[in-house]
Amino acid sequence: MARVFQKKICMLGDFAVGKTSLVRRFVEGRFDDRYLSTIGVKVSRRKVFLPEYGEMHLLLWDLAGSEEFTGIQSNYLQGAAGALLVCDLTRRETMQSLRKYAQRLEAVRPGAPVILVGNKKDLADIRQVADADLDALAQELQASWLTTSAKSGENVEEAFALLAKRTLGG
Amino acid sequence: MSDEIYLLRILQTLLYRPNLAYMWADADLRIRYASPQTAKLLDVEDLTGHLLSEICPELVGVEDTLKALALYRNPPFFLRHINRDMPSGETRYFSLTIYPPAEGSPLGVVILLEDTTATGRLLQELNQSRNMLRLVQRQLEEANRFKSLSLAIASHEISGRLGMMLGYTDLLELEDGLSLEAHEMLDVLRWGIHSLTMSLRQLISLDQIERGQLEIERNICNLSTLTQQAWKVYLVPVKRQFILEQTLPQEPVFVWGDENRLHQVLYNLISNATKYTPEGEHIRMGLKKTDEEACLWVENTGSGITPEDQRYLFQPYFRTSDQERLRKQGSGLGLFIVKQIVEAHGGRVEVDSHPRDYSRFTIYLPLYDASEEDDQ
Repeated sequence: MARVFQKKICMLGDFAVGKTSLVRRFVEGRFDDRYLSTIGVKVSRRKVFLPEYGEMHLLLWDLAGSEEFTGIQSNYLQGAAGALLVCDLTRRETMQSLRKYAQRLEAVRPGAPVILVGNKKDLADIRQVADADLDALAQELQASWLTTSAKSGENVEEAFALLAKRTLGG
Repeated sequence: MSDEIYLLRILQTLLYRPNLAYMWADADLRIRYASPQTAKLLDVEDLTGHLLSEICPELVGVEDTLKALALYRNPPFFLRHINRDMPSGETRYFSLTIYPPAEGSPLGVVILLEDTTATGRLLQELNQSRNMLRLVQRQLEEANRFKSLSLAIASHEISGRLGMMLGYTDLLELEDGLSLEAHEMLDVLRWGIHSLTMSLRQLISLDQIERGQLEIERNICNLSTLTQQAWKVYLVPVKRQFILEQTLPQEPVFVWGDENRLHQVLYNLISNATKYTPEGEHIRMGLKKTDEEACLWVENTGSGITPEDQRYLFQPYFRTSDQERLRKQGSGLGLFIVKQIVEAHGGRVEVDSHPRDYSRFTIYLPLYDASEEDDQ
């Protein structure tokens, strides 16, 4: 019988960068323009099929982006197989914050893989984060990076699939 | 009644609350007991026999921590504000706390599930509002930065051209054979250029004040010369409208200041005086030196300022009751800028006025002291 992997994936990043929207796009295949801030954590599930590995169950932990909740995030991060570190391409400071989230994850789950995600790619006119900036930070954090749009769905599947593979050592 | 009965009543009161549910799971984290309220809160049936992580996916990944807890090896584990979308479509919030077994109890864990939807919703609304405010604040800051940049570029362009116009005006005045009328026209032209330059400088100053970065470039500054220049540029062209009086000391008065900024101060005071002095009335301007200070004043006769208005005169965007009544144009920023500039020089500005009589604005500036220059 084929083995089914189950992995806990955390969504980390500042408020309003689009973490919930990315999960909603990935799990429900839809996008909602309204901003609804998350407090605490919301867990969603989705199965993915990775050709080299088979079926995989992802448990997606959508965590609050506000610093009020980061003090107790270590409990939320326990058992995480990896994380998507999400920033908003139209707010440069949200990229600077990613180091902080990477450090928090590293403290609880040393060596857990991360993927840097620059979201809101569709808002190209007001973009403040260049590909080169993401690339430099990704190199510093020894991570891969992608730019996504939860609105159009561009690269959303790819981001989760890439992290899923990384959690399996791929 | 025995103590046990009281204790039982207390326990019943504490435990049987509609927002609380309890489970017991064994050392393998399989649920062995769930209070009736658990199924209701989680909208799940047949809890017993299931693994804890099957009922609470929020516990996936922390099984080892919980197993250690079941063996008394860990402190309680908690998760706050777990979001759950219920079949009804509403989002409910829960807190989950997992306790080790009591001393002497069988190995396992006690799970306390609390429905915190009421506080969760309030917290969510609060968080939402705060985050929205932060986003708006950020947008405003960006718009402000853009405004400052645009202003800096525009002022650079415009002041360059105004400087050129002023240069040509001065050159024209040197021409031989100009009539008295032509000289007067050049005075008016020069006044116009200076006024435009000052208006531009007002905008820049306001932007710098707003950012807390008012730039002051200090040098030895001859206030006597500055006063005479301001008199010539701003008052001589209106000499037919008002009775002008000037008082200057014999000896020049020096301060350690920014000539352009102090010129701006004089422009604001004189332009207020010319605006509020009825035709045929007096405008007086003077300068004197005390032991420690330079004292420069601009005074005009006319309607004066009420004591009530005097209290707010130096606040931004303030307009006196007279300004409103007479529908005089003005931004209410001139005196605010004057105060900021004078105070940035270590000085002060005072107003003395009697309604229906006169208004006198006096600025006091520390005199130039050579040792001060060394400190800069």
